[in-house]
Amino acid sequence: MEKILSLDGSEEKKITITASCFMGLSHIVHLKDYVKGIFFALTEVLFIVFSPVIVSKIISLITLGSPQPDLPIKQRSNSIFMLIDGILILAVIALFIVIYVISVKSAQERYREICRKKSYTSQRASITTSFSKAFPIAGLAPSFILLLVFVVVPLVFSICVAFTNYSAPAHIPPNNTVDWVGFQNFKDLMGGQATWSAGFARVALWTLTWAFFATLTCYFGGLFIAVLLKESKIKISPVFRVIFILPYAVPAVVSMLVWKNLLNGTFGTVNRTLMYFGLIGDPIPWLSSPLLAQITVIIVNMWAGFGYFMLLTMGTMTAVSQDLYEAARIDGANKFQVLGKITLPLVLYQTMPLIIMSFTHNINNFGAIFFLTGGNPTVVDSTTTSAGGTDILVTWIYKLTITLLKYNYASVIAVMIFIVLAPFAIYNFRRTKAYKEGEL
Amino acid sequence: MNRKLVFIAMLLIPAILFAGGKKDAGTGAAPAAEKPVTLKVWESTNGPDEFIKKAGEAFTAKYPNVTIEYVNVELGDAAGQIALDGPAGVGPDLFAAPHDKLGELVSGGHVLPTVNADALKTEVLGACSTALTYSGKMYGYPVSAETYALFYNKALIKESELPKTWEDLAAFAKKFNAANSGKYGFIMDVGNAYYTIVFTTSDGNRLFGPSGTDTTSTNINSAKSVKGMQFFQNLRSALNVPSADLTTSVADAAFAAGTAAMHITGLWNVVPFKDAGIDFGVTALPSLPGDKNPSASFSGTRAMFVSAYSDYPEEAAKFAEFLVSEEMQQLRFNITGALPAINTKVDSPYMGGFLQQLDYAFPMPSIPQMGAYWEAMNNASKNIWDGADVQKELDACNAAILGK
Repeated sequence: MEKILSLDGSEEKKITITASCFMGLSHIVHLKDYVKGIFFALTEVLFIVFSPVIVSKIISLITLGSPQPDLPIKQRSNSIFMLIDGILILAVIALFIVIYVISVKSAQERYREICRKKSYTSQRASITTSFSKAFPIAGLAPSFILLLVFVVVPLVFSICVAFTNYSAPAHIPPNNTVDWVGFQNFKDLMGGQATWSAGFARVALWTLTWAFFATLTCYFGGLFIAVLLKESKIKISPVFRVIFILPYAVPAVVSMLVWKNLLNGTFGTVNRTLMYFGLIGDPIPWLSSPLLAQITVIIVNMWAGFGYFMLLTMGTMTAVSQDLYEAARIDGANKFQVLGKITLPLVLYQTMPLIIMSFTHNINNFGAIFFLTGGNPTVVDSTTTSAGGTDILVTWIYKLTITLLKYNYASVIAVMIFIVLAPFAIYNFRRTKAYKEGEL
Repeated sequence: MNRKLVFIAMLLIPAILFAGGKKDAGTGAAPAAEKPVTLKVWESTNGPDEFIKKAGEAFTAKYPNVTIEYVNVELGDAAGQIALDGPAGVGPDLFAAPHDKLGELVSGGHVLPTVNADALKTEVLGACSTALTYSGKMYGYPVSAETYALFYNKALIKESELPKTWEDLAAFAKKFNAANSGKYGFIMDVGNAYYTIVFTTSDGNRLFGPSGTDTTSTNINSAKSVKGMQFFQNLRSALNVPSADLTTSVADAAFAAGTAAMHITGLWNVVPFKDAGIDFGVTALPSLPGDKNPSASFSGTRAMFVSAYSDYPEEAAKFAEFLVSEEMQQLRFNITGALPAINTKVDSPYMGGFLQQLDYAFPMPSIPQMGAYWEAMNNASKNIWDGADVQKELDACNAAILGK
């Protein structure tokens, strides 16, 4: 087996081909790097040993099982397990490919090094360099694998569900199997099925409206109170600060349920009080008219959320240099000018990423909607889609999965939310200084 | 050295435990009459758990080799849990589940048929044995029955005024509302398909056909249903509250506060209303236009099922049968206050109304399509109550249930 390599770099192609034929082959045959070579070879042997399992899992991933109505349930093929297993196996294959590429690259690198030095380095030296090179990889490997298994695989799984017919009543495992349906669910929700598409468009539009106004009201409500507390010279402003933060400190679930009872159109305290004093004749349908219910949830959400932004903007305001204010005062600026030209621009600039975060949070603000209205009141398409007048996409997903078992549609909606939100998240992430100045 | 020993010992302990566990299961596979047997039972907390423990003691006194081990798995979770725990070998020998899970349990092969079904059928209430029959075969042992009925506040309505028909009820409510501002002659959760099904049942019209298993037509949009739901829509004039404001908790609260004369609800509210100091009675539901009998309601049966994965099916069946005995049914009623599944005399002024209604109740269908029924019919009921077109809503409801 002892072959002499020409050390002028002319045989790189040979090395690459040998390395590509079997992992670690060129390390052993040509490069005299036995330890590394054996490690790579063992990886490939392991992969080959398990290849029957891998192939069968991949086949299951493609077919997702076939109906076996004659078998007892526990012996039937469970499409969802097949899907998860298949995705896990895909991750393993991806890992294997990465190691394969590394092995070929490592062979090429070593050959170039030998050519440069015109001699084989000793086995011991090669191990030492390999170890020091592999250290960061070995250190990161556990977290990388955890990330792969617990973040990437579930993410891919939930996206995959959007392309299946995983839904009640006919396609719920283990009783029945699930099949791939391509883009059918997307088509259904975007024009294919009139009621569903209308419902989807309605809920999506309301979700964006809701997120916009919920963020806007909370932010400017908080800012307004903060400015008021700062500018007013009352002695007990800390007391007010505590009072204003209380709604934020109470768990939203509790306060939303309380509001739900207070605002009940017929039996709620708010309407009864107003009627008692003769301020209104008929009860105001706070939560029973679709439009008014939407306005109500925005207002109640503002009540619950402005305290956070009040504290935030207050903190930012104290960080604004006093010199600026002093200079403005000397120049004869009045309070409104100071507010408009100095405080607001600086505070807005500082808190912009947080506003964007708050917007994305509100798109997924499950609690504010679900505990206050539960998606009610019902509207025309509710009987079919189960989405009510104040349901946002996440609360609809909840209903679709928990009560209707329509995982396919829920997954499509989740994918759509992801597509809408990902740009915001990426933009926000890229803006942070840690990202800009970091080494990445 | 010492540390190493400790470490090895720590490794060995679980191994020994596992070995022990295996052994136990091994001997269990061949049950012998006098060998000690432990039956694991899944039940809910708040009453049923106490009943199972007491019944277990009584059973052990009778059969000393059998002990009952109670494990808390809530009624609603049991059917889902057995599908996972049963095959894994950690499931129970017996578990409690509502009868509407029966289809799922039988098609999943998780439960064993009833032993001595014919003898048992003669003992238990008719509604219970029908509810537990799936394609001609009986599964499980009914331990309690359930339905809802008309509650009335004796301070607000005289027994002689009690409506026999829904028209009477509407007329009374209108008169009552006009006379008592801020009070309601009649209240119910109008957005809950569990109650609104009542209005679709005139003249024997039943959800999913007479047997409750017809998956080709739901009957929810049949002519009789539409007529009934139109009547339901007209009932709005007797209870002018939008559906979004009229939830179960609101209706319960109004009755408990003494502001509603009549309310449709079930047994679970007897104790809360009694605690609220309301002097009330329970009677059968009024009859629908054109009908003579009280309108039909959903009935539920809570049953004890013998797991198909049990190592001791004979002992488990014996214990389940024991739970249906007169003595145990009395004990269960005293602990939980739930309606017995056999015809036994119980000491409560409220039971008469429920038992009367139970005669006209029909078992909630147990086919998988029921899953879609709830949400669709809840929303259809709300929309109808708020004035939507009845035929259109019920057609949409039908399509949603059948997955079209």
